[in-house]
Amino acid sequence: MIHIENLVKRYGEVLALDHLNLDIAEGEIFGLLGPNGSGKTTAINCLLALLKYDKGEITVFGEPMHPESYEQKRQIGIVPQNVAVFEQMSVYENIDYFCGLYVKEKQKRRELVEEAIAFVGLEDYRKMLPRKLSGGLLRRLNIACGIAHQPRLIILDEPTVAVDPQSRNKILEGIVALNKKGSTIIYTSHYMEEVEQICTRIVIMDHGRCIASGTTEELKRMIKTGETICIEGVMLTDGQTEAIRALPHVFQADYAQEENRLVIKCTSAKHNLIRVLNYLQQEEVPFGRVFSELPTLNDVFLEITGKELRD
Amino acid sequence: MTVFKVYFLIIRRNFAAILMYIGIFAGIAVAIQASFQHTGMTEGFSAMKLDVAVVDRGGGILSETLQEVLGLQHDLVTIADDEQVIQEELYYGNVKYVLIVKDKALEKLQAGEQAVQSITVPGTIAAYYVEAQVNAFLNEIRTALAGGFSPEEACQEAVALATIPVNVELVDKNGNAGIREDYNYYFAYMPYAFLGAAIMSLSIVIMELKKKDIRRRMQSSSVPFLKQNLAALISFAVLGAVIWGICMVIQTFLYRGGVFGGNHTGYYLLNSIVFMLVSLSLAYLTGTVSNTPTVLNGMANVISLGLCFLGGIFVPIEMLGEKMGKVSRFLPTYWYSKTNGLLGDYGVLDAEQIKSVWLGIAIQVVFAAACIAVTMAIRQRQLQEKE
Repeated sequence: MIHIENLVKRYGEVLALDHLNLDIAEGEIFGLLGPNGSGKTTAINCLLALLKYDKGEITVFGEPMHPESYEQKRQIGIVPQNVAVFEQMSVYENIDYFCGLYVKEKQKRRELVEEAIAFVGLEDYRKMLPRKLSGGLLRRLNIACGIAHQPRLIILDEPTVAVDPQSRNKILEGIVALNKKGSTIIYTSHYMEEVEQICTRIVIMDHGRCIASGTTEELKRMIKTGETICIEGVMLTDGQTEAIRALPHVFQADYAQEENRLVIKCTSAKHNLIRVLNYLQQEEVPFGRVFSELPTLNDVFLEITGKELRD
Repeated sequence: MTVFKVYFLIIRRNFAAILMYIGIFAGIAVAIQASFQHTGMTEGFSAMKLDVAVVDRGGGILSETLQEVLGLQHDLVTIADDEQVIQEELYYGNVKYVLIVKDKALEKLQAGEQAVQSITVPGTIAAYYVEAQVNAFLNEIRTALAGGFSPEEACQEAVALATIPVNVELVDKNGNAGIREDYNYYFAYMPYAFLGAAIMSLSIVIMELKKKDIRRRMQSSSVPFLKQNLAALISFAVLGAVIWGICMVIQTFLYRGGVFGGNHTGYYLLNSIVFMLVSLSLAYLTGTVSNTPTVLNGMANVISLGLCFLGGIFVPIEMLGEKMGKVSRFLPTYWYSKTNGLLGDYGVLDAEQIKSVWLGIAIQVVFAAACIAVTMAIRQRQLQEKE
């Protein structure tokens, strides 16, 4: 559905997109994950032909994308990062206006607007001006304005920034529902949990490059870490720490003496936790809280780039 | 149509502000126009009567006749022959002219000496006016005496001449009988309404549309960019036409046809249409540089009031001083006001005046074009910064 090849975009000396390659298939919820400034929004702007790029090729729905590709644009809906609605127009007028940029027929538009209002749950706020809506409701209005014309491709650029957890869940549920109704979704975010929760395929970006791509499981399998074990309230000697490092499948053990905290990283294998606890019992080392975590996308990012996703 | 619609949806929400500006303007225009008297110079003539004091130091036939003649044209007042009293009377404006008839005035006149002396406030019209009448009288006496008439006969002749009624016919040189049409006052204040209404409506829409993400949404839509710009242009034109139309309808009702039944209809309409263009270009600029409604509100007041004061709409340029007058020439309101003044002062325009009218209109067009060019440059810069 979307093919991006060797895309290069420079802002003066800054290389915003560095030979970016992407392929997005119809029906996907495609997550574009990366820290702020990694090039996600620039990539989206190039995809929509809002930005000129220095090199590369972009095809959307099998056709090259240009600023004048109005037939392709007709099938795309965009939900920008900031709430982009008219302050002086009511909820209904805003959705009707943005829908009207795609759908000329009045009767059909009326139906679509009503559907969008129902979809985001703004039935009781039709006549309200945006300034009277709460942050969460505003975000829902922002989404409704982008999806009302029922596009084939919906691009959501960090739609949950500064949204409370309840509204965030509602938005995420809505995105999955849109996908089930047949829309392909491109979802950019720097919240790995969200991407992990809803996306069928993910690309991790950094410094304008695609550094990894695949499903959540595929991405996690790319890294060495299969399990992270954390033990709190533990006092170890240097020798005991070394012995833990030597246990099977353990490739890293960091002991923080001031916090009495031990973090062990193991490769994917069975009974990693039991082996560690058996050793501590054998050495008669007392310990407090113990928990084990499966790798997250942050671990993936950390292992590939050497830095945290939220740095 | 969709883009066009958004302008009018937003403008509709601010229609009260538009009406407020038009209402204030109409109120000011009607009040100012009502305060002017409507006596045209060809409607009638009456000679000016002044308070004139005569100090008679010697009496005699010449003095009596002079007082009789002056009494026919002015109100004579008696005051003491005291220099200080005379000065005070003149200072407080109780009298406009003091005539001292010297002792043995007739003899002095016959001998070619100064028979009378006048004391006035220097440079006043009254001084010249009465002085001319006194001199005319003395010349008549002098001529009659030189012609062999006796002093009594000369004085009788002078009185007879003074009583001959004078038919004064005033020439309507300006072609408007000295009267400015009522609607000229209305047109004089129109820039205030145009500026206020245009800025308070159009700028709000421009301010909304220039928001980065709204622009992004519009540009990624299936409506071509050219079509969006065209819709914006049509909206500007329609809004301008609506505000202009409202003002024209009001003047038609207030002045029973107003400009449509008076002089220079075409020039009045053209001058006001061009100023509407100026107002729209300023609204475009204001909307581009404002980021919040509060800033916009402030700018609307500063621009509309500032241009109207400095451009001679609210107060005559002469009152602003020479330096300010030079600055005013750079303002479109100055040229609008100057053109409107010409149209009001002259019922018939000569070639030079027609040239001035066209010059005023052309300068306004140039100002609007410059304003649009500057705004486009600012917008370009804003777009580059946001990119």
